[in-house]
Amino acid sequence: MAETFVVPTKGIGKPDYSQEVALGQVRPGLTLKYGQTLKLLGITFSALWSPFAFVKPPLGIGLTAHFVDWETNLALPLTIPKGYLYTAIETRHSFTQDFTMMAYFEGFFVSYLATKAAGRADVFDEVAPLSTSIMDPLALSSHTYDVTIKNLGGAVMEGSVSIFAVVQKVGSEPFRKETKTVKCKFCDHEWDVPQETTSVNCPNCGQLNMYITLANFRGF
Amino acid sequence: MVTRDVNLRVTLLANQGRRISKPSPLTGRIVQLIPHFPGGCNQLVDMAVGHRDTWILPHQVDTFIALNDATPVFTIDEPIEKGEEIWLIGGNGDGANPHSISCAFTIIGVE
Repeated sequence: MAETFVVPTKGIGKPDYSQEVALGQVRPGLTLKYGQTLKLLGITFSALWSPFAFVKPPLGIGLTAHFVDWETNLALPLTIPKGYLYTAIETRHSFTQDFTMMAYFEGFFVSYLATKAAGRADVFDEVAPLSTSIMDPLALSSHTYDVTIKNLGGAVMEGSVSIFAVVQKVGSEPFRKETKTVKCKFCDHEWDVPQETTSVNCPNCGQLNMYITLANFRGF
Repeated sequence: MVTRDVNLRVTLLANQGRRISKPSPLTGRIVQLIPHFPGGCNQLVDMAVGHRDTWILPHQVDTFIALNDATPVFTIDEPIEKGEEIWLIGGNGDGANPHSISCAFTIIGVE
């Protein structure tokens, strides 16, 4: 018998997920279930030039900025559609000036996410209370979620903050759509691109914009 | 007397058959077989295992087993010599999906 040979088709089975199961066993980490997708919200302030859209110039003294969606550069508030739950699972931040971050739900102030001195680098992985499930467990209506950051220091502020969140369908249809609307960092033009897009020239001003994509993420 | 395990694992593309083998690490007896069929095989993926010219599972020549999402344990008593070829033949009759099947042999004997 040859080492490799042809086998006639007897039917059509189902995909073999044994590799994915093994992956989860040897390197535990975040794994998304069906109907769950990730959101990465935050902002970076830096004097360094970068094509990444979520990298903004340093924040002036006393000024406030809204977080942006790292996949699109669209500023918050984020609208969580009816039928979906939003739950933050990790946040990290570090800035060169004192700062305060404020969260808003439905346009109303709900909590200070952090008010800290300059120079700290913090990571929190238990931010589940930042979930629409405690406001509307069945996702019976859409909601808006907003986070701002204010520079409380005496000089312009550099640094970065991010919030990882899971958006989950209450039902069966995945949240992810075929396209996303992105915003140009340089001229604010908005247009639709495929979900997987990470690098694209603005059709209005021609500048290169870079984003991230979480479209195909299934687990670490 | 010592115990050794030999694991034969093969990934079969759609409509692909393969024969893989490893040498026995011991002279003694094969006492246990644990074939594994992942979910999705849907009885479309054939497997047979043996050593040299002997078919062990199934014991009849040119016959195969095909299961789905199953890892049965078979107790056997088959003499084998060190260096003798232990083989697995797999045939994927699924016309669309690749599948990875395996069989673990437990051997008791001397080196």
